[in-house]
Amino acid sequence: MQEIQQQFCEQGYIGNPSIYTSLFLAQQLQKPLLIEGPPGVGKTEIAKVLAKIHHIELIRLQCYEGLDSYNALYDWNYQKQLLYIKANENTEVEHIYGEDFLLKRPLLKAITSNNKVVLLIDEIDRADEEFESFLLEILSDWQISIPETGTIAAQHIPYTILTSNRKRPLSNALRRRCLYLWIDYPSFEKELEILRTHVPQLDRKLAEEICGFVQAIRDMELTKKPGVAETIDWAMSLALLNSSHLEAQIVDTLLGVVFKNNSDIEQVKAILPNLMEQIVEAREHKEPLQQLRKLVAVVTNE
Amino acid sequence: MNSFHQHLTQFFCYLKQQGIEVSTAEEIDACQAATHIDIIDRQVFYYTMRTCLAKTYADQQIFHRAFYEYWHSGVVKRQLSTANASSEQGNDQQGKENVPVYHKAKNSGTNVQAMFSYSPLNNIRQQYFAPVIDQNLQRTVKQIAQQLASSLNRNYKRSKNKRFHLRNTIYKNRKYHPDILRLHFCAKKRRKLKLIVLCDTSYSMKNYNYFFLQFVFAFCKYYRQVRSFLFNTQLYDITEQAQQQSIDNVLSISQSGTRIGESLWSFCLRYRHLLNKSTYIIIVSDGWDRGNINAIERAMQQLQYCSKGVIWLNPWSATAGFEPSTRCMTIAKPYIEILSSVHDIKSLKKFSHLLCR
Repeated sequence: MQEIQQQFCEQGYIGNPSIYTSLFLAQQLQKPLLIEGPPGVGKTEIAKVLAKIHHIELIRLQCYEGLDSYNALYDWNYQKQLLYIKANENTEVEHIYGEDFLLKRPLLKAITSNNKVVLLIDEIDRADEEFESFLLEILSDWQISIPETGTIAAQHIPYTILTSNRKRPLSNALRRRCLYLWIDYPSFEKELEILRTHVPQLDRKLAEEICGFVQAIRDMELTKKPGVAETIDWAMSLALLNSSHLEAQIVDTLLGVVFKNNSDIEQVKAILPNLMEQIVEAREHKEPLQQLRKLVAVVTNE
Repeated sequence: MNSFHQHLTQFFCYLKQQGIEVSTAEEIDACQAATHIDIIDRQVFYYTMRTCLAKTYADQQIFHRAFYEYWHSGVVKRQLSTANASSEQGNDQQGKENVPVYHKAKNSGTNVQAMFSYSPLNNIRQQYFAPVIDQNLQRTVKQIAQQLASSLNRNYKRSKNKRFHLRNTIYKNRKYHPDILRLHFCAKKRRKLKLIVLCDTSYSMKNYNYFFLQFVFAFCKYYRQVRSFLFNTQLYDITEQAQQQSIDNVLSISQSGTRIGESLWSFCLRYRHLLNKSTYIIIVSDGWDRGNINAIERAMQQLQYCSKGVIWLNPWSATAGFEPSTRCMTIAKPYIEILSSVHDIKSLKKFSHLLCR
């Protein structure tokens, strides 16, 4: 498990023991791992890093409403079949449902791959319930039944990661087939570590102020709370602008980088002067920025 | 089926009772997962079971509570056995469902024979440390603080009109004033006793900490010479919070895993200036440790050398048949002056007498 932790850290993914334990178990038990959590906390990134660590291919299936087995699993190459039939008009046509005419979509590609792969089924909650039921066979038995040809069993069980933002509740049947991991927003210290890893050119004081600000804002009731991805984007923007500390004017200009909803921006703008005042005070008195969280809670309650 | 698997099976039953739907497939997964990990490591064991058994965010919240109730509290066994017995007799126990397990244990009054904890010796979870009534606590602590502040040293100092000192009178007059007799008076020196409290906040100490911090916080109110620290895998200075009496803020600093050696050593490095020969170091810990054992020895050696003495408060030491046999305690034992427990007001008074000696 420490090896996994070390490898993830080397790839710039700063996680917690719960993540490493779940990944270790998913690999040892050869079970899919269902990861849930708010957007932007690094769910998809886990699969990418896993592929990098093992130097294997990442096969990604992005789910969306209306996704069906033809787009996720396989389809027949009808044009090729027609051409084949036409070319062999005089002879008896056989094997038009063979592997030559099969178009492999992500799931089939992952199952039939000669090497081990990482299969990422991203945002499974966006797909329909029918598709979710369709996945059950694959996730439990690692095989796919194609009516025309029969059942194809996996040569190598892929490392499978499913992610969900909880747009809709997933079925118990699917959950039972997976190991489960919940990733929450990171703590102040962890987020600071992540920022320092991803934006090394960022001044430490500024990084602390950014983390303090974001942590405080997450306690507000926003439509879309800023995730780690937004924090990194914001930090990168501030680094590009050569800022050494947070200033009300710059923060106001860059609110769009962190908040992706107009009502959220308006809400934050309302408490911004107060919050900036607290940051300046904390900077001057060298107080820990973690306390901003409580201050914002007081401000928003008022 | 060995006893560990029996415990696991009963744990699954307990989870179901708490409202988590655990299927047989998930139970098998959990059992298989347990073979791949080091089950002695509590944190890893917790995460493993959670990954395999709690499949929603809400379930994870229930799981968190259920896990600690089950694996750290022997009372759950009785709760299960009582539930089984009552179901056999057809008694309706629904009215008692909302009562916390420790209250059930207290009310039923039977003794738990075996523990479900990691170690059969882990009796501390069996104890319910009742919060002390504030008025009593404040009164007792005030008395102790006064007692400590006015406790006297063995040595004497010069003082007018206190007590006639014959030896000094003869000695000084012979040496400096052979012709005129000058009387010398003296009084016992006041002890300037300082206390440094280092409190372990790992999950194994969770119940005890709230209980003990009540004393520490009340004590800080009346006795200024106290510095308080918490440690688990790192060290936290909570002196300010203790003076502000914000106990709830402090209690949020608790996590699984303890590195006693590293934490104590980091204390030695960062707060060496606080230590002198009138300082007692009070370490509050059960001695369960997953850190470096060499660091424990080094830190204890340093603490003993630089302070008046090291006092170790182990909540287990109040239980019958206790022996400091954990890895950490075995190493720390030679450097400990007093090994005791503070678990009620009576024991607190007893402990204060030890300090005033």
